[in-house]
Amino acid sequence: MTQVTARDNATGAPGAAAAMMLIACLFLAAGAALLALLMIKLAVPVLFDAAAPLSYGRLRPAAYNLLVYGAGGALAQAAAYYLLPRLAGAPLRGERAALLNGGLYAGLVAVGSALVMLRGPSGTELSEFPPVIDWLLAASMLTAALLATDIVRRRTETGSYVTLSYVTAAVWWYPILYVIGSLPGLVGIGTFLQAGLVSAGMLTVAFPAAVLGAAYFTVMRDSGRPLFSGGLARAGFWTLAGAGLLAAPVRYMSGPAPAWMEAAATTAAMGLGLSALAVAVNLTMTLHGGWEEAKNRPALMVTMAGVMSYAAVIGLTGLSGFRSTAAAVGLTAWWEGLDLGLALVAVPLLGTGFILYAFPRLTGREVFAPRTVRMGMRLTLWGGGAACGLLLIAGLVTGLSWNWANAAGALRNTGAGFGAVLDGVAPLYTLTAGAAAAAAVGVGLLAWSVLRTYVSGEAAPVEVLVPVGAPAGATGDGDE
Amino acid sequence: MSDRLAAAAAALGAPEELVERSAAARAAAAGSTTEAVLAAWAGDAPLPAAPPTPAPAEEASAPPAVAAEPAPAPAAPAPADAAPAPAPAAVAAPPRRWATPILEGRPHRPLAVWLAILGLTAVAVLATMVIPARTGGDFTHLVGDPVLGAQATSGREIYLREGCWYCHTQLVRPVLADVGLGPATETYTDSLRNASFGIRRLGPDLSRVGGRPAYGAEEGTVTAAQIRDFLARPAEAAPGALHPSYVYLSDGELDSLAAYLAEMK
Repeated sequence: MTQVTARDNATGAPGAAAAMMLIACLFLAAGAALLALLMIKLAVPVLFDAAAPLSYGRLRPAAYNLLVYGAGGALAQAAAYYLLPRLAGAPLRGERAALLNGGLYAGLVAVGSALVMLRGPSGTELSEFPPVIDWLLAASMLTAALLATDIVRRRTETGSYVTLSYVTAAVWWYPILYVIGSLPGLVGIGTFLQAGLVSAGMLTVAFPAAVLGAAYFTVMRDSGRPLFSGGLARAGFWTLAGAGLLAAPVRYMSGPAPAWMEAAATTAAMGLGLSALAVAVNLTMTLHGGWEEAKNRPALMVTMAGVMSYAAVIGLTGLSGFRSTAAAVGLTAWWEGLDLGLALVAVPLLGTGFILYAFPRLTGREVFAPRTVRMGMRLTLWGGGAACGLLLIAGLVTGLSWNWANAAGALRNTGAGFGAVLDGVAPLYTLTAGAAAAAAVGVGLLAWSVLRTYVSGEAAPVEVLVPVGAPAGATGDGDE
Repeated sequence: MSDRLAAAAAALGAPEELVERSAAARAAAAGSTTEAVLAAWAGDAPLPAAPPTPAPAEEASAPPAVAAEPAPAPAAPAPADAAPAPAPAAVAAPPRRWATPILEGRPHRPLAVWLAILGLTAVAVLATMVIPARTGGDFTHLVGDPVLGAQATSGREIYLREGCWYCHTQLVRPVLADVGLGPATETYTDSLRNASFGIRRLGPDLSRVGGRPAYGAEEGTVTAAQIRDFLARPAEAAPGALHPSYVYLSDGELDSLAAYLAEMK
């Protein structure tokens, strides 16, 4: 069994968990910047049109790769290396291997994203890295999953923690989905279904899972309050695990997929929305009556902002699965808005909330400039929220326009007819670009605060895991 | 009871309703009465014997206490659902894991959790990818290859490489919004195999772009040269169009891409 204690200050290089947190911050800042540039390109397509790496079709996969794999993958590893030892009562074995693997992972994502910009994407969506990087990256993800699982396998704590389930699931979902997305040889409808599953699964299931687990930990530890309902937390996790991937086809409702699959996806999408609602209700009730206190705690404040935005985005994803809704917003910018809401708002806030809680304790530094954190959170939340909302409106307007225009025979859905409808939403794209830029600045400020914490934060006690005697009743030999 | 409940709640610093629930759970687990447990927590009597409940409650009490926190508890801080369960050390009864009260946490079964996660993932992959792609159903007609020339085949590679499918679909749905785009994708057989369906339509659908009139025209069919001009200089070919320029592509690449689109009829 291990126990956390404190020592006066940090010495030496950061461990694997702290290093992955730093890496996640760098990727968050870079990814948010590229995503904001992408939104600017959406509003002004001819911008930098002579620069192939900055074309929309290359910028988009690069931006999402940096956020989903760079930041999301690093956050999953950081959460595993920080939270699992504390919840399972067993230290990370192979700290050096974890550190090296994390460095390799970050390098592969950075090089892969650069290659996507320089040479164009290959493969299915969210698996666009060149094949040679695909398999190295999958191996690196698998190594992280094995290291994390080894901690749980050697546990001395027998209690049930929903955080543990979320983090364990996240570190396994990443390699599994990535391998599925990189499978060669599929054609036509197979490629289509592969891309649909992997892009939806990565964005709505693997990407947020680890930071959702971390949110449970952060909220309770930082507020000192007991969880409102353990049962609700478990129900939320298993609903996500059961429904998240099955809901993937809602992105192409009425497309070339069997009717039974679409019916299942609609049902699962409702489950997906309920899983997000469970998290939001549980953590909100946990903080019931203590919101004033939360305002003075940067980690708690940022985490709860992330929880609320996550619930809003995933709730709307669930609603989008209904056939009537899909007939209006299917294939439109609506989905671009939901993707952006997750990648630029919800997960960055959840991730930095966790980092702001854990990083000072790992490095022995107080959070640098909480006011900067607050400003970063506001810009991310309001800027990103506005960008997401504007894209949702643009999607709704175009979808309804096509329905009305076709019903009345007023416009052709191609060529100049399409352009006429697009002209109507172009101002929304312009506003989206500005809002996304504000959100990127916000994410940058949050990342900068963490980096400055490491460099210039005031000294504070640092947590250290130390072995202690096994508690009474702890079996340590597994329950299976 | 209300006096004792209030006293216990005051002693533990927890809400009465939570203390009452936890006391009931503790009493059920220990074979005692709620009154006795409350009395013990209020400091009026010794704590009834309880079976070992090694797991601190849900989430709130990570096993290792954080000594750096303002109120560090050395081994087991306040549990979550069972906030008042203050004495896990008061263990006397033999272990009865099956009787562990829900409010005091459940034993974690990582192998079962791991297997369940993998199982659910496998079910989803089978249901949303493997079975629909391989067993026919609506896709039994998946037999034809598009008849593309060599240049158009090369153009298709450029279409994929430049990520055109991030904005354009080649997917016509049987819904009102897609009326006028041609037959629904499910109903034709000649270009599914190598199609790049796409799942976003920020720009128009391109499934039959080669059979449509040129941009702004009412009749006729667009030519490869017109498509090429549009791709290279969209602002001149279609003023006001929100489309990027592909001026960075070589002449040969532009020709190939235009040929591919023109052949999609």
